[in-house]
Amino acid sequence: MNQKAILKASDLSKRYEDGVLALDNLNLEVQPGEVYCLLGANGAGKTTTINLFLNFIPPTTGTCYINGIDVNRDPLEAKKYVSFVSENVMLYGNFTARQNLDFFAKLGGKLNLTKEDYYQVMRRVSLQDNAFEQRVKTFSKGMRQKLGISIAIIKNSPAVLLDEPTAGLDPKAAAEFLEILGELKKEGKAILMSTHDIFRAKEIGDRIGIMKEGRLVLERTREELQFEDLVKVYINYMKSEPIIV
Amino acid sequence: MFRTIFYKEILENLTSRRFFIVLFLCLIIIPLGTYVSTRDFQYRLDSYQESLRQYENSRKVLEDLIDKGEPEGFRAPSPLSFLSLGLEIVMPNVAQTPRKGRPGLVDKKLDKMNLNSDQPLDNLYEFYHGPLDLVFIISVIMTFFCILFTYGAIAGEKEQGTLKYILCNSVPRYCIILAKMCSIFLALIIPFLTAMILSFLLFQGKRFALFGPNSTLPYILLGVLFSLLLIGVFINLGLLISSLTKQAASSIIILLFCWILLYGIIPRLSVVLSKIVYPIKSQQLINLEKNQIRLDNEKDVEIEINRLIIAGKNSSINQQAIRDEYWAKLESQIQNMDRDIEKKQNTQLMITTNLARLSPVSCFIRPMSEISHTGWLRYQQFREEAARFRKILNEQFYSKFEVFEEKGGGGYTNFKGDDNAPAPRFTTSQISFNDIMRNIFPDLVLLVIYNLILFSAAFVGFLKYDAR
Repeated sequence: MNQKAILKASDLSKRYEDGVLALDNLNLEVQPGEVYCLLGANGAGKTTTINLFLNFIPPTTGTCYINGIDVNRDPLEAKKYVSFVSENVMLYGNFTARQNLDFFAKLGGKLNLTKEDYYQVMRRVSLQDNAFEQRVKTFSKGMRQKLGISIAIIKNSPAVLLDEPTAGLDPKAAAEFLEILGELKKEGKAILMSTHDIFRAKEIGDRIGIMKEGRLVLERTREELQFEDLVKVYINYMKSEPIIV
Repeated sequence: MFRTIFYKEILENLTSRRFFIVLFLCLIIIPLGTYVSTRDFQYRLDSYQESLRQYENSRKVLEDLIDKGEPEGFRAPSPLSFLSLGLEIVMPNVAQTPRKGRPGLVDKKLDKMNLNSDQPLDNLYEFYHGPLDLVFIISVIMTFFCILFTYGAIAGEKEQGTLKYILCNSVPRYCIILAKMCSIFLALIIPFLTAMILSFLLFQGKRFALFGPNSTLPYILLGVLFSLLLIGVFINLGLLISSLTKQAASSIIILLFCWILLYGIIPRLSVVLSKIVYPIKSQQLINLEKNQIRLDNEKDVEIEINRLIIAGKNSSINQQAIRDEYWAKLESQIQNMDRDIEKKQNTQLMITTNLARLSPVSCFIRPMSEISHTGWLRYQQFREEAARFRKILNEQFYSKFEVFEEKGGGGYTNFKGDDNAPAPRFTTSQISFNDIMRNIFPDLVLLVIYNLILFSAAFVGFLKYDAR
């Protein structure tokens, strides 16, 4: 933990306009080459955390840092160092996979890539060759998720945020997806992934945080989880008394 | 960054089905509208030329004017009426200039907005539905296309989730909205300008002196500028609503409501409101009052003549003197009344115009008719031309009569001038570009302001958009 954290949330809280406290004093760090999985029920604050890192919403208190940059203070600079894959990767349906990739690569600052570069990235995420020039509206969910991760790969940012990326994927597609994540981890990316999938979280996560009602109630490392049953721990926390704010 | 998004937007717009629909419709409707307007203009031009020819053939010298009745002036139809038919159909096209017809306004007939006598009955449908001129095409069809292109521009991306993907990159939001605005604008003006140029070359090219002293090019370019500004207003309005709504369906419903409000309701409501705010007597009531004044005047004349008879001073010269005196009094009374009414009508018109300016569509339609020489300025100019003609006639013709009999057969007698002198001709001139600019400048400024306000509002709305 003595490395510089790529993703860092410091005393981060978010209260929405309707008064709901979605996130309460969150502190977390994700180091380079580390996968941090956020587990929790719906409404636990996982997506809010990711939205705050992406500056989609401003925090009520606290700060998010990406690569040491205060996201709220300099969002455009901070976003240079982060990629995002959502639960449902929705790209431009009338564009081909390559055109989508080209567009988002350029937005990510990669201006001089060739067709072959795009094809290579798509091959890396196991997209079939005949899909490269196919319109995305014909893609299955698994194919769209792969294209989503290829956008993150091509941006080559040090941080990757994933919001339930394997939800709705069949086991094979989910396994393939996690394999790609493993490769990104090896490349030194700091990965923060929110998920409901305890098994996959245990499989890929170097650290796992359990969130409940906006709070990070538990954090375990991969090593610690060797001696604990994550499912049991998770269910116990979910069953416990609600947190009074 | 702007270039990347702009290129993507352009590609998306130009390859979309709706672009081809717009292109197809523009290529059909604009040339068709121009063709119909050109034919209609040709018909009015033939009618004008024939009337003028007949008049000039029958009134070559002053003697012809004495024999064949009062001199007349004819209003030429505007070749620019393909831009906007404006008041062309309801505007009088003949100025009668009797020496003492109706007192006061020599071009009194112009006050009556009658159907032209040579207007065929089937053209009445133009009144029911309005003409298919460029103003209709822009203010109805193109603005509708603007809505079709913009309603989902932001709301649609929100719904799809693609906006999140753009915003998680280092992209300033102004780049996104500016690129969207520019690309939609381009996607709409490409079909519009292509169709305009095509129809101009096909149907209008020969009619215009594009260059030289009587060039119509500035007017056409000004018309195009107004069209582009109105298209811009509706694009920015679409972006504003799209940035404020979360669903494309809500966006299109609100936009259609705005469209109805701006095109149909505000301009019509402004007429009603101005009548409430500044009521004036109806033309019918005014005419009745004038008739009453005339009747009273005639009664007074009769009474005076009876007094003469009783006093034993009755003679045709004394009677004429009384008639002239009362006529002058009546003329002055009615002139004052007309002036007062005209002043009030102008005030009411000014209130209507300003209220209607709340809608950018009104800021487009009225100026377009002025640019096309089919608006209020042309009407005023025709009145002035008639007054000028009357002045010339007074100098060269009417002033040379020795006696004018008012009653009992009437007619001019004892013309002292040269019978064979050429009859004065009614001259008409083009409204200067500067005069038109002066008149429509507030509308031009307002359209620019509407564009800026709506774009700024759309920008702020998009900045505040919660991307989660």
